Amino acid sequence: MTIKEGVRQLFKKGEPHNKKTSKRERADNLRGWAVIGPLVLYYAIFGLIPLGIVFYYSFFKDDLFAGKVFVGFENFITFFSDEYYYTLLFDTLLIAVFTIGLSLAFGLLLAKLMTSQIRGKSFYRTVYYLPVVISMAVIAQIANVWLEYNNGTVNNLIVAFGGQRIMWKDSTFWMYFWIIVICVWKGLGATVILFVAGLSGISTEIYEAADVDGANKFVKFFKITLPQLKPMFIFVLITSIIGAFNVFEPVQLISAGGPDGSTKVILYQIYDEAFQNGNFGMGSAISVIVMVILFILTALNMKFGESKD
Amino acid sequence: MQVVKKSDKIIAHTILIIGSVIMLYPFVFALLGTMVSVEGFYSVGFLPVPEDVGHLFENLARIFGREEILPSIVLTLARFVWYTIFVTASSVLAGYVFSKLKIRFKKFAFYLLMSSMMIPGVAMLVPQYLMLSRFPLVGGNNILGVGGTGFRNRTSILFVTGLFSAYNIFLVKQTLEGIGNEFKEAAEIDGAGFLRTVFHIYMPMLKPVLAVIIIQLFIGQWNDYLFPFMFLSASEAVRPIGVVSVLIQSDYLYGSGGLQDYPLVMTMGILMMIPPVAVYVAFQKYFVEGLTVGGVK
Repeated sequence: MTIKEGVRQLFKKGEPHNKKTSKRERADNLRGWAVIGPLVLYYAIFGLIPLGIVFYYSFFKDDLFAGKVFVGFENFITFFSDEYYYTLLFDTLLIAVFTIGLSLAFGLLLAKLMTSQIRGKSFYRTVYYLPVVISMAVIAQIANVWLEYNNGTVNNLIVAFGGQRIMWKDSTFWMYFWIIVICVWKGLGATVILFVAGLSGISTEIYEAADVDGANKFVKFFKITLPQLKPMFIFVLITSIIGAFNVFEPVQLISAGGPDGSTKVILYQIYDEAFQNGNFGMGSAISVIVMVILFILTALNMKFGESKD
Repeated sequence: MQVVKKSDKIIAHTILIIGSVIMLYPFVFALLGTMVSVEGFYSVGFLPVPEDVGHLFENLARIFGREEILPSIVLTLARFVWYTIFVTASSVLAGYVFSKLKIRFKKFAFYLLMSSMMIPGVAMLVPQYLMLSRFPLVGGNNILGVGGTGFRNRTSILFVTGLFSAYNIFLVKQTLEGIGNEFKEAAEIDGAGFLRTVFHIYMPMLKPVLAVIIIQLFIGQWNDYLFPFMFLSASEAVRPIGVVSVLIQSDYLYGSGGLQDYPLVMTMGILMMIPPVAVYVAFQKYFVEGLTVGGVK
């Protein structure tokens, strides 16, 4: 490439105009790389080296006495054969499926209503987005007040209506229930805004044409709205799936992974394994598994997203 | 124009209002809860009934009386300023280079930097921590990164990662592509240098997108919990407000002083909510923009 360019430079030499551009190109090159170079270097150190480390470390085990021991694929084999580990994936997916399903359904309904011809759209948009901007950890702590056994608000209400207090934190079902409720509540506004943007992008002419053809509401929804919304749908789906693997605060602060580790999501296990128990080998192996899963999911979604664009 | 039936409108409003009540409920609950006595909170039903505004002031005095709170707010603001400088500078400069300059290996460099978006942050926690604790010439480490503890349990660990954001570079590049090259050419004729062209001519035109970036940085920094919680576990270290607030809440949630002080938990919660909510309400239009720029092609 450089030889080719050098030859071209030779032939250009005579022309003053080209000489000027090539001089400017060289200056641009220098300036450009003075900016991009440090960024690439920084990315190499803080992004690519850790990427190498995570794969490297996933083949080791941190032994209390022997230190770091090479174990090959043992961590991965343990992960997929030990019930304690592979159920982490189901726990994470359980939260992901319900959170995403509910967010998409409610998000689409609310966005559809918000793009209809009604007043107060901007008010609704503001309100629904509010939970998105606040800290998940703070919300989790407030939820702890609601879910306390003796003096918690939810139990107070249950007792006031003549019911029995519930040991929320001793029940796997209820812990999932509340974690999912919090995740949906917290993230719904972002989904709504994206769907509002997607719906506003659909031209009204298509609907008018459908009206002429006498299409009813459901036909219009399934034949026009959904297909037109597909790219946005896929974007929301990707970000939601990645988001689901980021669920940490409600698990750490409300359920602490319990009862009996039943709500331990994958990120909580990474934290537990590496930062609590110092087993960076297993922590790295789980990180690699998360990375591969997210990579496949993202790629799949992109493929589906492209097919019709 | 589609004609919307009145009954449809009523149904739409009803559903949206019910949703709004659910969305606002925790905020209202927490706010009212700050004005209740500790004992009064134990019998709270749907919403706490405020007893005395004095409780709120008392709670505020107790929160600000804790010695860790002010240093942590200062640290959080310092992080915000630091990241604002690095992220905006890198986004504007790199965005400009990628959209306006002809440089060698541009495509390669662009896709390389953009690839950082494909690496999930949660998978990087462990290796980043390992790398930062083996970082050469920091925290007693020698040039090979051995001997000391590196960035481990140093507050400086909160300032070294994520100094550029591929997404923001992309955002600026896209915006610049909508702005013509004529400004660059005119600037060159006037003899303006590279930095002058970028910062004095193009940057003012980038105000909306930079507002998006800076607002997101503020909210991200204010709420930052996971990273500092995991990377800076030493209790003697100054930690960001996102972590400190949760620790304070935990103290009163589980009654470290023998009493579960829920009004204080609510007050801390409200204090944490005010800055991001205020910023969001004040700069709302930028949020919608920032969210949808990435979504719509």
